[in-house]
Amino acid sequence: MNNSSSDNAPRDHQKAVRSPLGRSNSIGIFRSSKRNSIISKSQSPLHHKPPTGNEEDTTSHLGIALNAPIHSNLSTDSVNQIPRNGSVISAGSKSHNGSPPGIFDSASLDSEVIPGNIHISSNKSIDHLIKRYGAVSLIRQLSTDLAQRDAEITILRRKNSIRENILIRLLNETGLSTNEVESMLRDRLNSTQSSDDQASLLETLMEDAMSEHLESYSYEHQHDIATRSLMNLSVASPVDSLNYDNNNEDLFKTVTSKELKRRPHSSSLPPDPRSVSASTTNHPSTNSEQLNHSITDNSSSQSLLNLVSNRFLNQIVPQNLQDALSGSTGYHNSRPYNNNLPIPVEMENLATTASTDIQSFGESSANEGKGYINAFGFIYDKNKDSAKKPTVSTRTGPSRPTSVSLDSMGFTSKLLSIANDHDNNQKQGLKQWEDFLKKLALMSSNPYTESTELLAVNGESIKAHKHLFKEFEKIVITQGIPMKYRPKIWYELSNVKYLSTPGEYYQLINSTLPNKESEKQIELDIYRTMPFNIYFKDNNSPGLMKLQNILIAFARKYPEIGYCQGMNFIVANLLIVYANNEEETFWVFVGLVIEKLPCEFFQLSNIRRDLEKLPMIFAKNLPKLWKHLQRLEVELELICFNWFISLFSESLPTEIVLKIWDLVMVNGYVELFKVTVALFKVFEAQLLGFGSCMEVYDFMKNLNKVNVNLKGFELIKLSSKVGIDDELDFNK
Amino acid sequence: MSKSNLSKYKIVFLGEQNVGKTSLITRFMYDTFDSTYAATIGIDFLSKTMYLDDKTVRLQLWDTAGQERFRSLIPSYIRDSHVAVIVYDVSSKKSFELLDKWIEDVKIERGENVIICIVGNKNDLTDERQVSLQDGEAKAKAHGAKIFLETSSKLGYNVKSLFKKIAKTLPEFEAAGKSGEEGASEMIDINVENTTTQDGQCQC
Repeated sequence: MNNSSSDNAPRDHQKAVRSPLGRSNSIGIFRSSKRNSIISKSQSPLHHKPPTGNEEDTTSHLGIALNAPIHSNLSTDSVNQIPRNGSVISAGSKSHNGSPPGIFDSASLDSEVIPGNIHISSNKSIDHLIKRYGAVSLIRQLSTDLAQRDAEITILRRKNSIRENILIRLLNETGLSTNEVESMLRDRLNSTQSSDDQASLLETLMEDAMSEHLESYSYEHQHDIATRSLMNLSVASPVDSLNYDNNNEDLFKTVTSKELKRRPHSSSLPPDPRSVSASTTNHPSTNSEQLNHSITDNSSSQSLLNLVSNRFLNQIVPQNLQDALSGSTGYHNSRPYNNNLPIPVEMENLATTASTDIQSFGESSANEGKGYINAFGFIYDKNKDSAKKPTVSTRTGPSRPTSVSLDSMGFTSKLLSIANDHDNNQKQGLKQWEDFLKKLALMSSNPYTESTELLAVNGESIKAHKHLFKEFEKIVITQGIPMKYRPKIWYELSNVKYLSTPGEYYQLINSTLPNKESEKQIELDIYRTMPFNIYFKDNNSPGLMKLQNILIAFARKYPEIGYCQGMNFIVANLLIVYANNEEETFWVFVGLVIEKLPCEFFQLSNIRRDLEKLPMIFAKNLPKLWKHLQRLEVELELICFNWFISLFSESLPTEIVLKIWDLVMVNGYVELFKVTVALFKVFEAQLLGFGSCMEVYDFMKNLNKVNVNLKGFELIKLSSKVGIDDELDFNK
Repeated sequence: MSKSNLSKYKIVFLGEQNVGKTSLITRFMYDTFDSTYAATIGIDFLSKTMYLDDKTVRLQLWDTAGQERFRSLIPSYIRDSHVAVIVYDVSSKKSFELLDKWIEDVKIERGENVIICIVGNKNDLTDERQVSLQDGEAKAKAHGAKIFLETSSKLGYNVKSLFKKIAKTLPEFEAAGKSGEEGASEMIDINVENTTTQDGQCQC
């Protein structure tokens, strides 16, 4: 803890200390190894900088390169002008110097700044480097690499999604509807793996996870090993460095085939859950062996939990489909981990996050041995229970050995029960959704040309078809929107199609006059949004700049709304749903605020006025509880204001928040009131037992704590039953 | 648990953004410190039972948002508070200058019926200090604040004493507080190593 606070000290007090080191200093050892930067080598060959000759080509793939932090001008600008992560956007948005930031500014690709094989250098020489150039420089360089790869991956992803669309369109022309294509693909992919084997694997995993002694686990130990393993990585897999030739399709092929060829020979199992699941599908027979290996090797429940939870995540998102269509499997599999030791999470997560497909939200191994990272990227810090987030904080850790076993077991069983619930719910829900979407597709007079919108009949939104909309609403309430469809459905429901103008987003970021007051606040708040989430943790976290950009763009587009605290939490959650796709996230946020919330929602006076309507709704729906609360002189505003201003994102576990947003996307503002009543309804019995308003506040204002057992489905069901009088008009 | 006969006191934390209101509370509540906290929006609530001089009080801690936009909400939170802890950042002159406004807000809402505490936080940032201890003391005196302290949530410096002092000003303790200033007081749940070095060098 001391370490971390010292590391973060400057930021903590908002005295961002920039390194005085000039960028022009080259870091000696790097000089000769331009094409073998540490991250690219250990994580993905995609990272390699394309040869300068291809720069233009890369750039031409739309403006989306801006989407991700790209390092530019590192060698020429002073460090001060590159606020974080070497991001072009940040440089642009901060300095507003008028010059449009380059997408891939080839001039900046000085060989001197490309770091090389630090991971295989001796500790001594690393120490030497740090002494000579400062840790800041080194770290900055590494993050630059990451950012750069992030950018490239963004391009690849976009390119692949374009390809996907074209392919689907081609298939449509031959008479297949999109849904048919998707379900066929899924079936095809599912049949390649034995589901029985998977089920039995899961059972084994669960058993082992439940029975294992958790006390034996040592965080330091793992961290140590992890560090060493990183150091050894490239030694272990020198063959895997592929030449990047900027031909993405070929690259994927090469990577995939190479990987598949190699994988059967790798006898040991990396604790990386994704690799595990990949090998699960390919070689079920080796699983138990690998599993045992992993258990004995790490004597860690962590990896087991990761395995289990990853299994559960795979259930949530039928990944095969995504992978198959986007080509991202190649990326994931390509990471040359033929090492049986853990990889430090930071590297790994940065790498996977960059690829922005939903799998990257999978549970990962511990962050420097400190805790878990859940499906939404929240780090469950085991050393603290103070934090509001993580929503589940356990008390384990080296400092409190006595509580390790109990709480970890609690965590295990909680995780397992979540996994089970999800498995069941998702299976059933997904089926219903697919049926419904299929039905919609078939209702179109020409189902094969209209393929882009899920919720449309003959290109007309289902809002125009009352009975369909009712049916849709019902599925949303009973099943929730599956993760798989959520981004697309939210996108459609928030009317992005009509709100958005191509290119406007980047224009807003790069050239529009700044909204100074808001932007100062935004800069202060981005660090204070999800400090316990891997995507928004610090300067190197992939989501942080995007969060800032989106908030800035919004404040510039709507200066009269500007920026209001609370938006930061909303956008961060949206970024998680939209897998870090910045532009989409921005437009959905615009749609959410403009279309779904009342026009002066973030001016606050509006909220307060509306909150005054709560007593009426309470009196009608919860007469007994309302009387009790009145007797205790509970002021609802004190509880509900936070819920409203952040659309619950600060106050409830993420998965429940997203379910609530499903409702808001469908029916708008009024749902916030219904959910509020439902939340009180869920805990009615407890609340009736409280004898003072303080107990009520204490409870209701800390619902995201571990001990609160709140089920999303139950809440949503209850909220759908809340009656609100028509005279309470919540529409604009 | 006969909670109902506990005396309850409402303490509001006020001050500019990012001066460390949440971190003070977190240090007190859990004895931890993070370099970053989620920004407080609207208002947060925590409560803690405190044992002191054989008596037990329940403290309600109201943590408020610093963003200007939320300022209009705050009077209603101040309304029935017993103690107002107004925090500034010793490394930010601006946060110190704006103390006056906060104190005024409190006085408008509560008159003299509130104990005003002025706290200069981040006292570990010696190199970046912009407000001297003397300036802080002078201001506290000028506004009739009962308590003035410099603290460091990061190091845990003076946080324990702050809450001890606050507790002692509460009606519950006023009499007892005079008898045993230091020795008699004992708080459980707090294991802060009370760093006495004034310079507060970062121990990390």
